[in-house]
Amino acid sequence: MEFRRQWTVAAFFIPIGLGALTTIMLVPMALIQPVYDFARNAAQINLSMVVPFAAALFCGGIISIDVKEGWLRTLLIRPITRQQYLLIKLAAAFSSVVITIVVAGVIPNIAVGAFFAKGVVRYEIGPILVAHTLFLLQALLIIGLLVFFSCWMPGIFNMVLLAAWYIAAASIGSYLQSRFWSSEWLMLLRDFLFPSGFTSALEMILGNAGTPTSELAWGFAALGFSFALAFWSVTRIEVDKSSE
Amino acid sequence: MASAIHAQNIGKTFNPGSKNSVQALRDVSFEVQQGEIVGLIGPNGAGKSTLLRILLGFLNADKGGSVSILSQHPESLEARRGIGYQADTQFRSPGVRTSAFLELHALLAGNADPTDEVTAVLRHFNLLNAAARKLSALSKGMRQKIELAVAFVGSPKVVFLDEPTASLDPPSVFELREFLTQQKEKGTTVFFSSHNLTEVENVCDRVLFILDGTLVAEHSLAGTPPGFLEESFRKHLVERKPS
Repeated sequence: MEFRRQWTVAAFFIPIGLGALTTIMLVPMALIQPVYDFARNAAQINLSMVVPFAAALFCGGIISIDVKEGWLRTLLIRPITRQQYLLIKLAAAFSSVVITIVVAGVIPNIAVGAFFAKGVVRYEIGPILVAHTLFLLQALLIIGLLVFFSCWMPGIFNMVLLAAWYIAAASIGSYLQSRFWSSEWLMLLRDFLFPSGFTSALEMILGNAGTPTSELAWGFAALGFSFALAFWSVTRIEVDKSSE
Repeated sequence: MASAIHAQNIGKTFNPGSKNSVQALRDVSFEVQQGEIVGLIGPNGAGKSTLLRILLGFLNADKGGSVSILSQHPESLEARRGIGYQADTQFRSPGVRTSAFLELHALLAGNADPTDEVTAVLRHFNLLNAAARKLSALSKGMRQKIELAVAFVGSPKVVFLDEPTASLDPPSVFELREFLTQQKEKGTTVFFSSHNLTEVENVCDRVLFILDGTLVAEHSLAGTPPGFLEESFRKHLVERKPS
């Protein structure tokens, strides 16, 4: 039922709309690129657009809407723990994000590669699987962060906060990279602007730049921390904050 | 007789320390025995819903207070297995159908095959024609009946009702009265807040009066003459209230 509650009529248009947008982005790439690399293009569209958009739209108000609508109250009056409730929510949200990645990321990528690519089309199963595993891990990380935000703030605010954080981290990161690339500690600080371990790991894998051990470790540490924050917050919130 | 609800020194201050601070409850203590039907009455803003939400563990009481339901903390799974609740604000979510909503509650309450129970509850509240409809498409009165049906799904030992007759038409009020009488015979404890003095007088064993967050009086209704409650209401809640 959690999954069904997420898929309102409006929600059906999210993956379709995102799919149209990614198609528009991919077609020029397919026309220009001498080699249409499925994994690399998937990384570009999914990590920059589909994953954060899907996570924000399905999870921005993942908890706050339940509090507002009385759904949290109607569930927690029954013998289920808050941890069980959160696991159900995470499973439903993750499924919705996976469907969005397939509809808005995978299908347009295959279709554009098949119908518009002028050069060689490269489908290498290894990099494709690694890339999609890392998308899903990044999606989980963002979902965890949004659960944390959503316990304390309304959904629309969380979406704006996530977008602002993303943009600010990217801008400051680029600035630091261009001006202070020789400063070791500022480069280290850059890594902490946004939890981007999985993104960095994928860049290294697709660029054949070695094994991304520390990037993956950073990604998993951030994922663990975001889930710890999410579970802690769900146990702390008051089910019914309103006064009479 | 064992205690079904035990509340000791419950206080609640919203926004403590700020200029918008509101003291909703002050040092509220009472006990409800198993099988009793107890009414909580008071004017708007007296603290009835806040007290109910604290009893259910949905709001935290201020430090120093304690609540137990069936001798357990209200948020413990043991207590939750025995609790039913009808909220004063109705659950809102597009897309959820009545039967699915009730079946979910029956499943969560421990009934692995909830179809029969849900059908019985729907029949009892005259809601069979609403089973396949979405909750958002139902009238306010019908949704109120759904919330009441949800409260009794899973045969709970203690049921909390918040303004149960607020949106009901007179025939539905009569049905609810009859239903509560049956529940009492089954030994179910019912604690409800209401503005409706007639309903409280008709079904309750005992009544608690609340004013400005304080329990100001308590009366047994056994053997009282008609009109007793209205007279008590005036005495405890109207005449005391500063103009």
